[in-house]
Amino acid sequence: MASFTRRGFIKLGTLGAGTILLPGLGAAEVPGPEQEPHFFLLIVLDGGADPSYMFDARPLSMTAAGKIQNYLGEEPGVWTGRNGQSTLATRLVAPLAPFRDRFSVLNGVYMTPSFDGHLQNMNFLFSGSPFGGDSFIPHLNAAETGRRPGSLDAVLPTPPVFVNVSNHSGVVTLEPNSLQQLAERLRQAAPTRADDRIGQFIRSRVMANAGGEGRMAAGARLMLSALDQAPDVHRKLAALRTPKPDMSQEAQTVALIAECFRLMLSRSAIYVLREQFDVHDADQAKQQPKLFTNAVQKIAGLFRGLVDTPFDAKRSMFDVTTVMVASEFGRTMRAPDMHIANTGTNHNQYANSVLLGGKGIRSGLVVGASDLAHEKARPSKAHLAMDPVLEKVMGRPIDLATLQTRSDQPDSFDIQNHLTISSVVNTLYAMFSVPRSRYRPIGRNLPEAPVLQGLLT
Amino acid sequence: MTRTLLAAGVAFAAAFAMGGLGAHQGLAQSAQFKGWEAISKELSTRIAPKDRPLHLDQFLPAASMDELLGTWSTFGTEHSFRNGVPNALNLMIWHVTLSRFAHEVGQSCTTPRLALHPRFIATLQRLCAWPAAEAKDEGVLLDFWTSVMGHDASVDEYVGWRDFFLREYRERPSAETVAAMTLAVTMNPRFLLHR
Repeated sequence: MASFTRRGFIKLGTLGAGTILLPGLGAAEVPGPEQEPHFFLLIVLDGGADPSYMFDARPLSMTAAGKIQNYLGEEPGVWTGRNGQSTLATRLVAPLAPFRDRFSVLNGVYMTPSFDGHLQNMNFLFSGSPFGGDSFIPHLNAAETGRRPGSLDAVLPTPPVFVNVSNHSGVVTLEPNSLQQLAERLRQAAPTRADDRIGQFIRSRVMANAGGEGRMAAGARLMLSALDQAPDVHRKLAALRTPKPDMSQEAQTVALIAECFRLMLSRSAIYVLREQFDVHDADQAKQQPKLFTNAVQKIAGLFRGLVDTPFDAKRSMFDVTTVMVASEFGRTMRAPDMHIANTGTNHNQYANSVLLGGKGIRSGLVVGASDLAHEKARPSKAHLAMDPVLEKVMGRPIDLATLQTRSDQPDSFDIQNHLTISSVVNTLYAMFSVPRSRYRPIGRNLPEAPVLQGLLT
Repeated sequence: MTRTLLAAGVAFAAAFAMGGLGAHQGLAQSAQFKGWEAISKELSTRIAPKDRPLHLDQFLPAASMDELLGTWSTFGTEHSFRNGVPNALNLMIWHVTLSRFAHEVGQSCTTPRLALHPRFIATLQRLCAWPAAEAKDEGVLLDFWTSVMGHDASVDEYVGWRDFFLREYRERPSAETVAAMTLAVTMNPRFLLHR
């Protein structure tokens, strides 16, 4: 936590205030905050993070019984939500404890039930299809939400996540270490102009190529849209200030995100943690306490940064940002044919954990749960049908209206009885006023995934 | 020319209206930028000597920006082309970069700024006589156009470009005109986008 000091973020806030005082950038050129500003930060745990090291832990007796690996070797504690529902959490989540009233824990979240690959599940997280398609991120920034769109759909201040989506043209990589130089150069360069002769001519040729059918025409249409937005992006980037390099990489990243939101440069940000959670090998799996220690510290640092960074005189960045922490899936309890003290873990798309907090979220709740909570727990017939060797925990049935986990043991699996990532995304859609036509179905030929009304403020 | 532009504008507006085509739709079927490496190599091959390739990097507004302009990345056995879909940021960076490059080409009318191969130098020298009549010769203009654009564009694109400069830059100084000509070619979708 040393890298995320209060002083550092006050410094950042001061820098942010300075952007409106830049010479040559009058108040009219720097956009003011919207009446109801609302941003979105997605923090990605890449590779499939094991929820049992955070908010869906298991007792040590289960490890002693050979059911689930545990390289932390400590008994987890009880984490109780304001809704009375509890889960077990490891001590690794301690840095998040100061923010426990600012986010809710969602356990037993189903990703795509039919596939267990990284790409298919990351595609499912972003697009609702294992094969990819339209990502939900740009939908949050569309004019159809009734808000003035940010210039970019999202900034990606970290190495990108690998995902097949077709509409991420407005999701752009923008890393802090190259931004300072870029901003300085842009302050010296004139933005593209459509009102001078050459600017008009360039635009006219792009427009001429944008008519009609075909890939070239479609590409030219994107160029035209980009050309029209480029001057705005140029001015905003020129106005953008990053903190001094003596701040840590993560602190600089928060600074960048805050600046992008404040200037309405982008609606969203995607922060991909550098830790790689795909621990099939036992030696890799043994690194999980360290991996999660680092990751949770960074997540807590991002939370702290958003809380301590003012958006305006009354609100912090956290107050105007919905934050989601997610991985593409969870992990199996162990690998087959390996000793419990020396095992890796594989992919588990049946029980992921998601953290949701910030603007629009009823926080401090624990929602959903996975089954096989202890070594004597009996799986349902539905579980045995899906996972006969009992490698995976699975999300338990839930009453989506009350968000209460159900105690029944169904004989057959029905995704409509479970908490799904599609419901989580539809809940985000509801918060951002995305039209219902965008809402995801629960599954193929199934109705719309229910919005988690109990999670909305 | 005006009629052509008007027709294109109407067709473009109709495409939006009928199909509801926004910037976010149908990207899988959209041409992407050729990418930084491809554009750098094409330009270098067309105007620079073999033993002194053009380093377009010098015109980037900041280090690492080339990654935003279309690059290949590898994830396991998957190879994907990233940041090639036009967006406001990468287009702005292309514009800043190519403006700086075009400026240097224009300035080369008076002082050599870039290592250029002899054939391109000969074309440029003739063009740098602008606004004199010999610079407006069809052969000179076509030579310059082809030298930078290659054969990626239709004759209509060339005609539109030629007529614009003969009309709008008729009396402008050579450095300004050549820079604008270079920028107009390199910002053309036929130059930047992969077919």
